Amino acid sequence: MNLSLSGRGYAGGMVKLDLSSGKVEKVVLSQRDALMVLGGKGLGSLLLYNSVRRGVDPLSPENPLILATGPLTGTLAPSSCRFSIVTKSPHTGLFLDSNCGGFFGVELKKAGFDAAIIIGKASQLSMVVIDDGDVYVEDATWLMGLKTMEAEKKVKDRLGEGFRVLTIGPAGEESVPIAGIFTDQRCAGRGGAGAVMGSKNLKSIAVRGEKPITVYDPDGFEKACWRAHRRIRMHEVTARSLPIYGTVNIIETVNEAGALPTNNFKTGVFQDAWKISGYEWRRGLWKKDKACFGCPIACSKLAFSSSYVVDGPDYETLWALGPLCGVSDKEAIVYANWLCDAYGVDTISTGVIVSFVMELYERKILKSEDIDGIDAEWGSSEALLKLVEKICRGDGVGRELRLGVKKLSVKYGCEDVAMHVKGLEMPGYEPRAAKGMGLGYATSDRGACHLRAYTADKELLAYGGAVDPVKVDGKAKLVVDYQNEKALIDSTGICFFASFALSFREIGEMLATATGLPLDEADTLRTIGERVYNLTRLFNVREGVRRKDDCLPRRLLKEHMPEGPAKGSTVELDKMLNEYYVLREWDENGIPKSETIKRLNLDAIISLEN
Amino acid sequence: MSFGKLIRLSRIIDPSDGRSLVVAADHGLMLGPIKGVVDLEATLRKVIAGGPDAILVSPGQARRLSHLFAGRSAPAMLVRIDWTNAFRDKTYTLPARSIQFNRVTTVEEAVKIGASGVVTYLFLGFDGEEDHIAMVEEFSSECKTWSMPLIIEPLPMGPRVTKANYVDMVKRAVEKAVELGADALKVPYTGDPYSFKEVIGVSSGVPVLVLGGYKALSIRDSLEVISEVLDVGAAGVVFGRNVVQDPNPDEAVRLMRRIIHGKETVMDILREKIKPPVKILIEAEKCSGCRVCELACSFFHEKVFDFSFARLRVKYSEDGRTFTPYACTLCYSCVNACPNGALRVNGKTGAVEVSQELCQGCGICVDSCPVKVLKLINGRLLLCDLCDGLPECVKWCSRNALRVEGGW
Amino acid sequence: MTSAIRIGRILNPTDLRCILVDCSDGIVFQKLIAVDIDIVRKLDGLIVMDVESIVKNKHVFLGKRSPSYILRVGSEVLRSSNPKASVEEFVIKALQMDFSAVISTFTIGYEDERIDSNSMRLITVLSDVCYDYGLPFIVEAMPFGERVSSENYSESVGLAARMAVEVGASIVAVPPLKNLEDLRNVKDSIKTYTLLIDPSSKLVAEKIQQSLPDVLLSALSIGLNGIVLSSSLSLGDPVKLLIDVSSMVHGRLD
Repeated sequence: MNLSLSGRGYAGGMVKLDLSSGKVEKVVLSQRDALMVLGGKGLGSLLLYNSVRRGVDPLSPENPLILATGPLTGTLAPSSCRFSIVTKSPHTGLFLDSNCGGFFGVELKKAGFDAAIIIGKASQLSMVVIDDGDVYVEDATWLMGLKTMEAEKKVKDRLGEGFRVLTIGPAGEESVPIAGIFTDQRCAGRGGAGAVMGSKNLKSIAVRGEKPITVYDPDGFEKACWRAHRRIRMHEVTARSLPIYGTVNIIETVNEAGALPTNNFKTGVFQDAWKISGYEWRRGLWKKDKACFGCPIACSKLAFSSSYVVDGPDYETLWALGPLCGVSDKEAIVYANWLCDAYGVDTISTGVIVSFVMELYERKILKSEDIDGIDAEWGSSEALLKLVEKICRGDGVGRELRLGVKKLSVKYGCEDVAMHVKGLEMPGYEPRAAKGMGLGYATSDRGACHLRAYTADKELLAYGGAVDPVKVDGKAKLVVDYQNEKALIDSTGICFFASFALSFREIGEMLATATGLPLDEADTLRTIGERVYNLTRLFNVREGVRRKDDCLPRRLLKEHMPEGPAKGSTVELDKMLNEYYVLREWDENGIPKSETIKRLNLDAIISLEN
Repeated sequence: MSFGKLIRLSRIIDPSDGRSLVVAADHGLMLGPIKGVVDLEATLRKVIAGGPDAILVSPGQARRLSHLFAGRSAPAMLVRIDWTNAFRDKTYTLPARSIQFNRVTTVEEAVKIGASGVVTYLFLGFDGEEDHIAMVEEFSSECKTWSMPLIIEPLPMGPRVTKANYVDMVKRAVEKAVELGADALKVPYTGDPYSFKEVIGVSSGVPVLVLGGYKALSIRDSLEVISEVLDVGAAGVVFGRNVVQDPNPDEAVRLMRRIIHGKETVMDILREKIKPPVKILIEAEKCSGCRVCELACSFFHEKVFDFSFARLRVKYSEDGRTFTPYACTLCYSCVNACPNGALRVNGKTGAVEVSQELCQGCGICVDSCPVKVLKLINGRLLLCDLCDGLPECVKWCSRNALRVEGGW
Repeated sequence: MTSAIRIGRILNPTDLRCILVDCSDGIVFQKLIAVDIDIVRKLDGLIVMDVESIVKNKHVFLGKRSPSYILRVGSEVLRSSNPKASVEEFVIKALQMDFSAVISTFTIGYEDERIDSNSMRLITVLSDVCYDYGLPFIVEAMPFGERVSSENYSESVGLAARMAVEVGASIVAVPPLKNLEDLRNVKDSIKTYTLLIDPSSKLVAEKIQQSLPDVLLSALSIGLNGIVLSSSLSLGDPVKLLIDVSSMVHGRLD
């Protein structure tokens, strides 16, 4: 008995496009899939798992680019802008999901599609146009080489009002592994989704929809959404910290805890943190608060200069192009941010690459002649900008730098201080000063990521009860809980920040009234989250990931923190990992046990070959 | 319940209706000099003018300001008997790194000052739980000795609290508090009345007062919360920041009293301020471009989510640097332009109304609108009706970019 | 330190006045409640000798605006081996039950001065313990005994009242005096809240000729804070008396 999901939050269908043949196929989204994985990350992971075989080349036509919205996307649920871009990462060779805001996901659903799956490869640089149910491919050679914001504007000008556009920059066109996908000044930055798009000769995807989005129980849904909005308006973080200072609001606190990675993670204390505090930005370069679709928080801040507008910097970008490289020059950081956005690369990866170069320079493994005459001194904003520009444009040494620190460390050595996990560069929280974050980096499904298990919440920011950041007891459970819950949130279509203020009961009520499906129980949602996280793990296991890959760079395991509240500490990863696997009900090699797979009903929706 | 507890509790919870409006003013002990409590005496004088049933203060302030509590029409005094660092999250100076707690006075001291009740936290969800429970047990025993009502504030706190188990944790904490001898409870709202009803369900008849937490965007939000929890059996509220940080604490308390003791509804109160013309004021600098206003408008009128059905609009500038909402300004250009007399003004709100029979769908009104918020869709004219005096767009705007002149 | 809150339950802070009814013999209380419970609920305070009458009629005392109740303590506590501990027990019991004050009579003027001395001992112990526990202490300054006469009455009242203040009473009650000036002098030397004792009370050694309303009005005019009614309530319509007294003391029936 498969009731249609159409009009119940969902559009009810998905579209599959083969760029090689031009074939367009419309696929129904089944209620069973909706109940099992909801949408967004969950749906994308399911589609990805089932549509590729092990070992597929991420830059080949077989690797699908999946755009998946959630059932709440496009509704009055708070911050209901989100959709996930899911694919196999060319940077890590593993699972990748990139959650993105803006307005694109909403428009996709209004065009009649909960998800779009793009496979194949166009014969020349092209653009996919989804005009309310009509899907076709157009020539985009006239967009070749354009920066992301330019390309987006030109596409909108050409197609007309109402279109929302995903686009890659020049870096994506060259399938640079750190290239991202950009829309409305937001991005799906990490892991090289932009490279996948580039490998398909796809410059842009434009969508316009005219179908209104409807829900199963309008009155009940409206009340649930209003209560959720009201909660967000009554929560210190979502009503004050984020709206006023954006994500940068935590920079000084993280630094005070000795957890702000500085100079390529040599230490966790940055002396000039006060220069780049949220307060400094607010009274300086930031001129406007900007919100994504339907969001009462408005965490984005627009920095104006005479010639450009930058949405940012947000915490990670600020950190990666700032303290990580020892830089505190705000103007330089904003410009570097703009460069990365314009050329379409991940700011985190870019910053980590620059800081790795700076460390190699300090160790005299690289001299300025090796890097096109740049004096890569710690804290030099000049060096930062030059290196960022090279990485963005692929000029000179930039050509190899943009391949990421893992590849660089293979060539130049210093693997111990190549700050990545599974090939994805490490984000802005020092694991030795927040051990839960360390475990989270090691076990994240897409490589080092701070979002899968944002234990910094409790370890560094003391929200909902502080947890000693340097202790390892209880961290494994914390990480498991956070990972499961984040996986669920990423499958609903609402933003992580909105979820700060909400419990699963409140999210469940919105889901249940929107879809009419039995999703109101907190435990049901928790299980979905756990299921999705195991699903992505199974994908990685299929690609060969084992315990040895759930690791951290030796710097974090062996070098003692030199200063700060976490002075002297290293990450006791093994201990936490053992506990983690037990709690996850995976074996000692990090493979989900068959009982676990059965308990989560995963065998019903994916085929397992071992 | 002992005689002393019964009498003292009746000074807090009005025996005529079993309800209470308590204002919390003990933040200084936990959070330092936050806005609203810097000059505590001045703030409390305003608060008291509104007529709360009781006020919660820390022991030092209790002694300093006991003169404010003198007299039988003065509020009853509640004394905070414990301290914690748990609420100092990153938004405060010296944020907590691990949860600590302490007693700050004895029940005997509170009796001497003349308090009618004492308040303590009870945290559930972290590693020091056992010790915390032991401390509360001591308080409970002292309260029994002195016949002093014990008000426990059960809160999920710590690493064992997740989004999935939050409601369950609230319930378990409430049960524990009841077990420890709470005479009343100060409980966080779980966000929706259904889950909160379950919380009330495990309180074993012990009166439940709901805490206010961080200040709401508008007093309308907090009045709604009060109304919701009373409907499912709460006995009242303990609101702190929502009162002391309001620009007019006395008015805030008065409005809350009307809901709690006056048994009025939020709608009763909101409707008082409706008088024509209900003008929507726009402060474009505050607009973030989220377009929730358009979504709310579309949903309220058509039950779907689609910007094209909204009766107002948000325009993004070419350079992406500004967002400007446009809403009906009640200029009545459309009324004057209509050749068929299909548009007229509503006397109660000042909004424009359309008579579907007289409307020919010519669209002249759409062109005449200087802010371009009239729409003709499939021959049907969509126009702003000010939502019968309480515009939805204003309600949903989290930025205060849309307001009603002289209203909410 | 004395709890301002407890004093505030007795003396209305807006006018710093009060009407207390002495129900130490129990009968007055029952009679009043039987006749008009509302008027009882509007009084400022009731003095009782034992706690049972309060407990049995707890509905009268529920809620914030209900009358306060005050515990009368007599010299029996001095007969125990440890008077201070005995008094402490009383005071703690009073606090447990949310009494707003303790009241005791101080007499001076017996030939056997040991009686005067005992009376002094009682109020010193009471005053100390009450102060420790923040409980207001009311002393009725009542010169009584063979040595008290109409010639030395006003000076004796002055003496007893001042002694009560020196010992630490928070409120002092004094009997009416024939001469208003004398009463004014007594009040000036007290400096703390002063109440008039019911002219018909048994312990008033020198009876005066004036009616209760006249006496009360003059007392209030020179700054006294109210009255402790007792025997007058048995002489006629107690409800009417209370209404009259209330309009005099508070200006209206509160």
